[in-house]
Amino acid sequence: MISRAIIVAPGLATLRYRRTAAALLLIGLALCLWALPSLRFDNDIQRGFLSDSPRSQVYRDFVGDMGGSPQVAVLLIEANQPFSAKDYEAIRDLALDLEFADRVEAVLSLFSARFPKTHALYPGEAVVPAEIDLDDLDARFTAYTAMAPPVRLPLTADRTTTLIVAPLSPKSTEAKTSESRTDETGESVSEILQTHPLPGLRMTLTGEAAIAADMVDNLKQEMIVLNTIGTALSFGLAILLLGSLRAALVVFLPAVAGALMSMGLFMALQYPITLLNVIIPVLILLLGAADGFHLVMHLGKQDNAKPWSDRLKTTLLDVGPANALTSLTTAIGFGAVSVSQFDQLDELALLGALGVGLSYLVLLVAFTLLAPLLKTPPHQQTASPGASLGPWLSNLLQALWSGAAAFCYRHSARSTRIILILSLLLTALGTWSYMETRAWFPLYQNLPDNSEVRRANRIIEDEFGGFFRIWTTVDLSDDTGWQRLRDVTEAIRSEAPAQSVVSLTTLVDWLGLEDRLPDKDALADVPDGLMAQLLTPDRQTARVVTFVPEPMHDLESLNRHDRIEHAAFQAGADSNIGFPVILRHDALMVVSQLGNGLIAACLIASLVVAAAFRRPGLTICLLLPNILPLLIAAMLVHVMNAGQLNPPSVLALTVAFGIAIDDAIHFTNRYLLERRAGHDLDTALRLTISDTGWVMTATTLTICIGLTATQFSPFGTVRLFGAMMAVTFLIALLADLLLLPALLRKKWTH
Amino acid sequence: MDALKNMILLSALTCFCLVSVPSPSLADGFLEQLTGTWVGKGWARQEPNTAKEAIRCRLTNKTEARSGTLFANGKCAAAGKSFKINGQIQPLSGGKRYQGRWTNPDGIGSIPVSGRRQENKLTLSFTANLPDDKGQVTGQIIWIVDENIVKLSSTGAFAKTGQSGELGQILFTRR
Repeated sequence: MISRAIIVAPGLATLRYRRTAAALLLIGLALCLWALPSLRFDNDIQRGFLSDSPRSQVYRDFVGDMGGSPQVAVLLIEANQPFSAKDYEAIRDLALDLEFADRVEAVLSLFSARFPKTHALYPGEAVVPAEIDLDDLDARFTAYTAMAPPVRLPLTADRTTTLIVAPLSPKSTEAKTSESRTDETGESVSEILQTHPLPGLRMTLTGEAAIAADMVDNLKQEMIVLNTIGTALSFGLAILLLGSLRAALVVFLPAVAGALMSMGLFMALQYPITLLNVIIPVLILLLGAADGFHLVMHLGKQDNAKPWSDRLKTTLLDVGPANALTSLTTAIGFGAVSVSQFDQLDELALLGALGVGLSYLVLLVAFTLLAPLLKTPPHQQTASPGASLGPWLSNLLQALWSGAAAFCYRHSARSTRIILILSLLLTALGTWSYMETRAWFPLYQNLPDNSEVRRANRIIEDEFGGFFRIWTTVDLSDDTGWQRLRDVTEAIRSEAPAQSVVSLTTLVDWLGLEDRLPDKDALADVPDGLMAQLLTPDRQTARVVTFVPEPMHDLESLNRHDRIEHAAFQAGADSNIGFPVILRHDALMVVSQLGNGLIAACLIASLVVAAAFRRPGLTICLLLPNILPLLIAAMLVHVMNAGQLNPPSVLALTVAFGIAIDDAIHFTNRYLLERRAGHDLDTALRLTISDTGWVMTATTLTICIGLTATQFSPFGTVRLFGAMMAVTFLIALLADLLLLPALLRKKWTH
Repeated sequence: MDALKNMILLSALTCFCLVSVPSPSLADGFLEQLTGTWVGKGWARQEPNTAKEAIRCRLTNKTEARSGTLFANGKCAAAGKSFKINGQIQPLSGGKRYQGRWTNPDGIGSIPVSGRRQENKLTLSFTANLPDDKGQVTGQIIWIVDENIVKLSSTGAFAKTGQSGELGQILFTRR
């Protein structure tokens, strides 16, 4: 086994070479601070959902064939009352001007709709004429809608909301051809929008780029909110619980240094900040603070008569290994996330695991450097809980804790059977509750609740059927190809009558062309960008484009998505490709893979800790008190998230396990130290509950108060994440103080 | 799509004629004043008896100093369709007459245009064969220039159907 001295070597080395250690630490911190401005935020909304699966690979190949990721700019325009003629004219000016924006391949709107030339009343005419008369316009809308066009008329029945959709050419193609596009205006979609203020109307831009921009903006705020508020709250409580500003500084400064170093890892590894990994710095800060608590409290409990350096060395040797073990189990928790096939989760796993390891090193060094702040003259009392706010609070806290410790000790000793039965019942209830959750990972949860883009997306999906696209491919290389394309198109239309479905067959029907694969001249007026989506350049593969909402918009949209896919395959389609397909299948794979990771983390961490203490029987002792809180926390999914288990919530459980087991480690470590010191089981447990129990309570409260910062987040996923973590820690504390002592009394654990 | 093609052709011709609008203050150097970017808004229609459709255009004009030729590049957008336009025009001796050529990159063909200026009003004439055997159209485009605003209107006569009348009006402003 590795000796304690080696495990805490960075701390012991710092004791000996203070100046060198301080210089190295300051250089590291300065480098991180210097590089902070280069932190970047992930603005690729698809990356988080793409995996190594064959389905994702097919999508990547498709993106490659198309010259880049297919994107759309979508504009939702709303009025408080039905659009007036002036409104229509203003919106039309905007829609037509968007044709001049860079990367815009085509513009689909009310004003791009045109009757077929075979129409009896309006042959070949634009649905919206130049001169707008509202009565005439209504008649035209009605006539157009009655023809069941392949692309729905983007106007609500009450005439208050409309939509402009502009498919964009991929960025790579843009870069390649920009030199030759001398006739383009060089204006972006946003710049065009700025020249069309649309007075009296509400205009919201969405689409992949807008979603990404909104996400990044909010992530930046999130970083500040989580770190600032979380740290401030925890620090305030730490002063109260430690009874000293200096002690709180010794706890928190190393933790802040560790968090800063973890941010340096983002830059060193060139990883962007995502909605998933944004929590790493604050988590590391809270973990570091918890470990700091144990160190500071242990130091304060030592005999003042001993030389200072001996006291510090003893603390490092007694508590340091437990800290190392807690870091290891937390790293295992993060590492377990890497069982997935998703880049973002792999990044999270690596960042988390390395960050925890780095934080451990920084903690030992920084604590050893700062510990002299806590030097007290021999025989002087160290600060006690609440002392900073007066003796009355100190007395109150001590009285409260004494009562709580006595309660825990008494019941863990006398009510062992009841505690075990109750725990098993709760475990069974939690397991049932967990089984009742539904894996769910909608894109909209990546946006904050108050997001305009999110609101617009929901309206678009409810009113217009959505703007995400599924490309269903049909092989045209044999004689039956054309008929199969028609069958597939009709099958999709019949399953999704409210969606816009476009294929070569719908175009042929609309234009009144011969019922066969049309030649290039016949479709010369179809925009190139649209043609590229409907037919491969070699004319061997056709694609049916279906506009859909995100599959997990709600249960109905999920079922409809499945029906579309099934109907397409039944009718002879070769594949369904697109971001919605990835969202439907691969995104849910994240949840199941994270679930596997969670189970692996629980087992591995428990085995590692039991092995470290050389007590195989401890595995069960550690598993039960730490799995029970997870199962109870999972019940929150029903309360806060309609029973939907998304990746952040499974992630919360995984990371929470890695952290929750820390208390169990510190408890077991202290218990075994007391036993080695010659105390019997009862005395060892009583002393452990009394001393380590107080530190565990203080650290848990400090972490939980810091996690309350997540409740200020506009992201529902972050709030759920924080709440699940906090509940896990609180239940884990109770389990460690009641269930763990009860289990340790069992002979089979010895 | 035939009717749409007609409208595109006529709209494109109409927009192209912006390059030939003279300056009221300069006898021979008026083309230079038309350099820069222009934004147009108005209507056009397929034939004199069909519905008017909204149209918006953007043009970027550049002048070649040596020959005085103006080169135009741009794009117009109508319902469900956008199309590129380009062409060139040069002054003839005397400064009152101009000639040029319109080339439609979308494949309609190369069409000559010519005209005469009186004060701030220019009248250009053209003759074009419509695609898909739709016959010939003969027309005029009238431009009226008022500092940084250009108003145009166009008329056409369709040989095959015998119809004639107004085909479009577009107001251009300098961007």
